[in-house]
Amino acid sequence: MLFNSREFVLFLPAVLAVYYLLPHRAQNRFLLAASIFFYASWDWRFLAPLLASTTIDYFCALKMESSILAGEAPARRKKFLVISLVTNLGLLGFFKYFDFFSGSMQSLLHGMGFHADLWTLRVILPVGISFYTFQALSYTIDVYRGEIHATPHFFDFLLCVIYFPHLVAGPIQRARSLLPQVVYPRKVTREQIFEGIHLILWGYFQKVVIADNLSRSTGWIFTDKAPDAFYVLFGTYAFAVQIFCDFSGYTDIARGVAKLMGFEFMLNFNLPYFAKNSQDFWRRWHISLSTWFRDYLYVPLGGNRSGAARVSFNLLITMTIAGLWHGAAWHFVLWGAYHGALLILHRAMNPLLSRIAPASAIGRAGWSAARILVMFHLTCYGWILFRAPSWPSIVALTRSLFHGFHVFQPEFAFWILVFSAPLVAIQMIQYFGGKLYFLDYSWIPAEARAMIYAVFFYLIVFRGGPPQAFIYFQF
Amino acid sequence: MNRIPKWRVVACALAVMATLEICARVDDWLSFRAPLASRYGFELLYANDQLGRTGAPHAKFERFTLNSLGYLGPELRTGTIRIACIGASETFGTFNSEDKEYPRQLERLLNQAMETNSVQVVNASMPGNSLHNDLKRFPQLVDRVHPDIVVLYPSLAIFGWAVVEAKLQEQRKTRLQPAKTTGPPPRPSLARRVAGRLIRTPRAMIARVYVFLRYKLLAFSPTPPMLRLDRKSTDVWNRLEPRAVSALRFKASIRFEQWRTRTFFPHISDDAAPMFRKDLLAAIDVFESRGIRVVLASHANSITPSGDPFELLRWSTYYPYTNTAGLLELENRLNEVMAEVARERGALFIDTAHRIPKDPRLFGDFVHFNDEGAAVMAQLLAAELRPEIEKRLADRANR
Repeated sequence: MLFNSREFVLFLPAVLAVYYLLPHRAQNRFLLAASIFFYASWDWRFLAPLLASTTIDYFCALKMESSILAGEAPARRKKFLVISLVTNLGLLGFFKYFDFFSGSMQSLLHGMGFHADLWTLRVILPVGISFYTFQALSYTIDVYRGEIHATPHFFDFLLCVIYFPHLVAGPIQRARSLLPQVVYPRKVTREQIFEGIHLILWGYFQKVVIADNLSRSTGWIFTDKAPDAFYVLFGTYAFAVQIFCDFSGYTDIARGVAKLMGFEFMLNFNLPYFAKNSQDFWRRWHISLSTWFRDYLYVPLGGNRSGAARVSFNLLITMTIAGLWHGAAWHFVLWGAYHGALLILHRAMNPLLSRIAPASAIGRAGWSAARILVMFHLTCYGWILFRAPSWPSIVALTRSLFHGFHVFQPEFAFWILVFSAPLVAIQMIQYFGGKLYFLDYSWIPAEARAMIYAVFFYLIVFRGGPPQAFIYFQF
Repeated sequence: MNRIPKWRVVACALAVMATLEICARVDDWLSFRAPLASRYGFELLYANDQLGRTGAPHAKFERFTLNSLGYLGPELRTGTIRIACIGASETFGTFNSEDKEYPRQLERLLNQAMETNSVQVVNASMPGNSLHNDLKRFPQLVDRVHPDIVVLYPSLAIFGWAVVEAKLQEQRKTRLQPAKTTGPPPRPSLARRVAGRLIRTPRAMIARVYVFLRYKLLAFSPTPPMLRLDRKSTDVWNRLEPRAVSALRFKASIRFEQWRTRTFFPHISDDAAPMFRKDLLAAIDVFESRGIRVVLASHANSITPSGDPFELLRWSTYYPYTNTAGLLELENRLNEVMAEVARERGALFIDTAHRIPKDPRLFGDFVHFNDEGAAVMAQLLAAELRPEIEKRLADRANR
């Protein structure tokens, strides 16, 4: 069941109607049942790995907790952490990466002149496995570190993992923030309802009106036979807006739905295309994933506490794995490595950039705008690596981009600008207004807000593009 | 947070409604250059004259633009071989994109094949029209269009309405005529009279209100619904409504219509085939007496007895006076009648019902072609009509 499906439009009001009538414990049980239904409606068979990994994590966490309470040495509880890691990463590796590594090994051996017929299982990827695996792992690692207490209530923990708004495409909620919200009674305030509706409408607008309409302009660009530089450039701009609106739209709907039930999810996007450098970009883009990798991979590797070479290595490894997390394909690995290289480059150039920054207010503004523009284009090139289906297409698209403009098709650019304009306008308001809730100004009367929401609603219902699955569902 | 005054809530609700309606109007204007202020709906395409309902000259609604004669498509060209396609919504192209309805595709195919521009196909159909009701308009059509060939592709379920109408008229006549009895009729008991009134009066009242709402006030009233949003939201609801709910709604509407008209044929009505035959013969007479070649095309659909029961149910809402088996029987029998009449009168018969695959990918629903289906229909007609057109072109050249 996708957020932009007919089933979800009927499912959500039904869930909310029952949810508001129930007391706290019953609400939790009901949400659990609704979440299982939500996931099973995609494919009930994949409930098995989800429930198995969650059950193992639950018992491992309890064992680690009792080991901590008994004052035993960390090595005693490490084995339970290892069990949890092996289970979660094993399932993720099997479902997501088995065929990838098997196929890659086969190609490598073939290249070396050997004939090898390795297994490829053609396993179907359970939807959301990358997201719920990381959510569950953060719980067991935090319990191992003694940062949170293990919950004795299995169903509460299960709800934390399986709660439907964040189950299939995040944001990757940490148990330390979500578990207390499950355990303690929630009160849905009027502010939460308004903000929830705002987020849902804005999320659907981004997804259905902007991303889906732009998908018409991007679908045919990223192929082995790259078109003219004009199409590649505008197609890449369109894809940059599309992927942001697709994923940010999903996250906003998830956060809005959670708010309607009294839950608070973490912010996942904070105007990423206004980033001035790659470090800033990763503090604004998919924040729940980048902070996860920071806390559970980059910092344990040594973070930036060691010398420059080691820090560069840590950055490159972390970002390459983050790239691989997105999908079992080499172009995702390349995309991750590219961002790792940008982060290393930024660390190296930062002192120089600080020295040459202008001192005057106007100069600073211009300098910031230039850096934002440069970073946006670097990010856009990254999207070519991300979106192109193969290595030859990456080469063809890059070559086309630098091969000169021979075609000018105003209509193609016009529609991209039309569908990108609302996002640019609203993000300008968010950026310069300093708040993401862009209608939260006392001078805007309630009637005017209602009218703006009505326009959003109309465009979502009547002017959406051809329905597309969320891009991040495949991850 | 402070309490929100009630008037503020009402003001917000009104603002939302007004904004949605303005959006709908601006959207229509941007998409179809529709007027911002006046009414805008499918009924704009219809006009009424002394012969009944017809296409309104120069009417425009969404992708449909009627010419000065009230037919869908461009104005008539002189010096062409004219083919008039007569039918209902299947021919009109309710489920087709602009210029993709089968008459338009047929014209393109024939002109391409002849490498000329000397064939014009006139789409002389209107949604909801039946052969029975169109009969009296055919002389007018001949006078206006002067067709060389006429393709009749009647909607059979719609034809069935004529049978029901005839039955209802018969019922009314029987009620008005005094019973032929020798003595005074026995007076029913008081209990029977009260019971009869209790059953009959609400039924009659509900039926009257229903007819008034559906056929007078909402559908064909001179002041149709003012809100554009109403039309658009109906389309959205039709897309959103779960199949189970739609099925229940369809069943209820079918039962209600049977109850309202007290009409149900478990099998095809005895009157249907003879009535259809009579109308077909009358139509052929009108055209052949003026030297027009008549082509009969049987009615195609995507339904098989083992096919999707939901689609069959949906189709039944258009002809609720029988069950689904009866509907298929009606369709098959009337197609047979068409073949028989064509044989008797030497008209060209194209068995599209059997030659167009019952493939849902060719249909927008159960009987209406989508663009691909219309292309198949056009190819079939073009292949059959090509020798006739070539002959006529050669005759013209010799003259």
